[in-house]
Amino acid sequence: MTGKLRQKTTAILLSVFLLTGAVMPGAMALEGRPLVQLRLNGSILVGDTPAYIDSNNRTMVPIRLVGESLGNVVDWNEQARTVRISRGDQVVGLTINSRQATVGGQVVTMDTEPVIVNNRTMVPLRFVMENLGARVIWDGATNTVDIWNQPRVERVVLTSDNVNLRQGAGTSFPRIETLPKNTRLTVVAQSGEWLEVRTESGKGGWVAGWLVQDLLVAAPDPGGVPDGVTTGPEVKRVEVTENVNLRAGPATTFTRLALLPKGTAMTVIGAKGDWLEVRLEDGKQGWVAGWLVTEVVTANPPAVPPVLPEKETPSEHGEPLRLAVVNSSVVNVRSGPDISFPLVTQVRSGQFLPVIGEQGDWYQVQMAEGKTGWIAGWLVSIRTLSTAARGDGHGRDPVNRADPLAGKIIVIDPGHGSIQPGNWSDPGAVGKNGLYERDVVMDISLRLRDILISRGATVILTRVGDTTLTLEGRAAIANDAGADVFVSVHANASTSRLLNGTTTYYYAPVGSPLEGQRADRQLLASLVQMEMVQAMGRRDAGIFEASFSVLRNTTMPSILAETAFISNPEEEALLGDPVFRAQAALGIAEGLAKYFAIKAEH
Amino acid sequence: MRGRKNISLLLAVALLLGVALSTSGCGVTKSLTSLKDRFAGKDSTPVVEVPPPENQLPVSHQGFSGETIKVTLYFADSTGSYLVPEERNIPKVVGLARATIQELINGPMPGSGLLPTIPAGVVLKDINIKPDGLAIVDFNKQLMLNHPGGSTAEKLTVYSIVNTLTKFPTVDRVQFLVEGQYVKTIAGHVDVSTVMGRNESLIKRAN
Repeated sequence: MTGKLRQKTTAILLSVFLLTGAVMPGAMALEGRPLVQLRLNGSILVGDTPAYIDSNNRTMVPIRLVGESLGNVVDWNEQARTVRISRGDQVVGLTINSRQATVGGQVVTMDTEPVIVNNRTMVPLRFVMENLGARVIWDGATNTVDIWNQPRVERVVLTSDNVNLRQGAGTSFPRIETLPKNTRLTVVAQSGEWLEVRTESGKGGWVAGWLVQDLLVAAPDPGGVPDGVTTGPEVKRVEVTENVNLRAGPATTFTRLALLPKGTAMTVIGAKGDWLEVRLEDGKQGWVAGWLVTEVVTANPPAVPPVLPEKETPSEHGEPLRLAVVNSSVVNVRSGPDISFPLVTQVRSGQFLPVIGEQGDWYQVQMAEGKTGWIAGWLVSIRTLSTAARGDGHGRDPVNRADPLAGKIIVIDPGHGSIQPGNWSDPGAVGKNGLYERDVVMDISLRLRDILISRGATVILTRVGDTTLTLEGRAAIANDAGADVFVSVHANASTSRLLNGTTTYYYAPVGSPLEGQRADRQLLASLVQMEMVQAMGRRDAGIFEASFSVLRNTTMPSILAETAFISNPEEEALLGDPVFRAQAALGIAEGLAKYFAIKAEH
Repeated sequence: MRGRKNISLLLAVALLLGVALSTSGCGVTKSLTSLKDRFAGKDSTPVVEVPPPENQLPVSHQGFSGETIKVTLYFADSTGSYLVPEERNIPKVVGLARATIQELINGPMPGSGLLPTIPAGVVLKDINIKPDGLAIVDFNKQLMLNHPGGSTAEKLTVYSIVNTLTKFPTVDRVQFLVEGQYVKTIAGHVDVSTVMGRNESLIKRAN
């Protein structure tokens, strides 16, 4: 009983967090109410009464504006002060100043109420829209609500020059013509990673899906890519609309834990991108695709939470990360767990070293250049990173509400794409099957940006297409912005096609002006490396120090992440897979979150 | 009779290859190392890998005293991750540093299992060793255009040159030039705008 109550409280607190977390950053107050911009299918909606966020943290919109824009039918009953909005056979009924609403004839309770402002009926946007089958996406960076009533991506734009329009879905099909960058295309169909498109001149053919960007971001197809774009849907109880897989993580690539029959009800305890972390009645936990569930609206959340849960139970998502913090001025790292073993290197006070083993009083730690060593337990203190500090949107300690990424300024540098003398764009490494590093890292960077923004960070990209900036110019963007960290995103290459794996670089040599950041830069590199390896599952090729231009010229902690080897055929195929690219972005984001969580405590 | 037939067959094949090369430009010669040429503003022109001019081969006899000398070259190990030294006897010529870099360009000994670090088509245009130990090396633009990319490959390219040159007692630092100009980077990662010192951490430790 108590357990159930606690679970429920946690769920409510989490959804409150998700809401406040989503609306607070950058909210502009006008008459004490943050204003919101509305976009319908990508176009800005303007009305005589602006949309705003009410005291229950819900976006309120004039019903006629949005209702009629969507082609819904709005009936206003003056006498009863009720509104009926219908779209096809879906009907939502609302009463002014009442939390009672009807959805398809069923009475439900909302967590806020419709009101009349300036003679305009203002209704809770998400409640109305989602119950009418539209999709609502909050963009905290621009304080914009996007409403999409279209089921799929329809318009795309080419992100690269010289994209081949082919007769079929694959590079083996003959080329019809070569299209320049920024060409707009209408999507007719999709096959795997390829899109069947029509050009504006009416020509039909196929283009590679990884060389386009959505002009309209719309609902993904089931089984599509988790984008990590949106804030978590604000639902507490859901049921699945068909037979749905319960998975170990927020993507179709994760292990299936169970098959949930249509109608199974569950509690939402977290969200990542379009996926929901849920708990079933029998206590089982896992992830389901957010687009395969429907909200079951239950009682109001109480205004004041009755009991705060003591602490979250330890994570079920991977091992807790332990760090050895050096607390003596210079400490020896040895090749074995005893002072009789030879010296490997020395570390300084304040350095963090990930712990990978333990024997007696000694800890085995991970160091740069792929080295490991043993350090005396009495010269370090051990920090365990609980799920509370992970800040990954689930298992969060509700008392510690701030996402470690919130408020941080993060510069993402998608590698390559630099215009060279002679006016060609540096493609970076090119895979045997024609995949360009330049394009792959752009996609990962955009996904990373969306995740970071959804978690409250301010993000600056050094490029979105090609750039005339030099490597120093890219670093200068971060220096000028006063960024907290700089992350350069790359894919690696070697003369050996066998070489594979994930690597992270930092640069802060002893004796250089950057020496003061050595501990921070190493920590940042280790954490991002660990999280990338966990997220992508490729070989851990370690962290390295290298004199890379963007790392030398940045004044804040910086790393260069080599996600995987584009010169390795297996990893080239993976880098071509949007799910893998999303995993790379999630890994980097998680590493950054861990870094800021640790820095917040020191 | 049969021999003749074979020859004409060979000729036909060669002719076809020639046609294929000049028309498609990216069939036979398409390789990782040459792909960047397609970005040098001529998408459909054939990739021609120019052999180093004759005067770039220092083994040609000016200043050759008849003696040989042992030099150390650094190539990539078979995994493409590290540098490994290869000792090689070369003619003791005037301009030994130039001859040594030319050996590096020529690549590892066949059967050594090592991998080259210098892209195809690269020519050492000039090398100048200052009395203070600074070696200034000037390569043609193929060093950048034909580089396969990747930070791992770029590090090996840069430090195979730096480590090979700093093996000479008269050299302790290296400055890169490309076509006579200072450049920021070869392949987008390593900063080569200033002088580079030897890098021991990239050399595979024997154990």
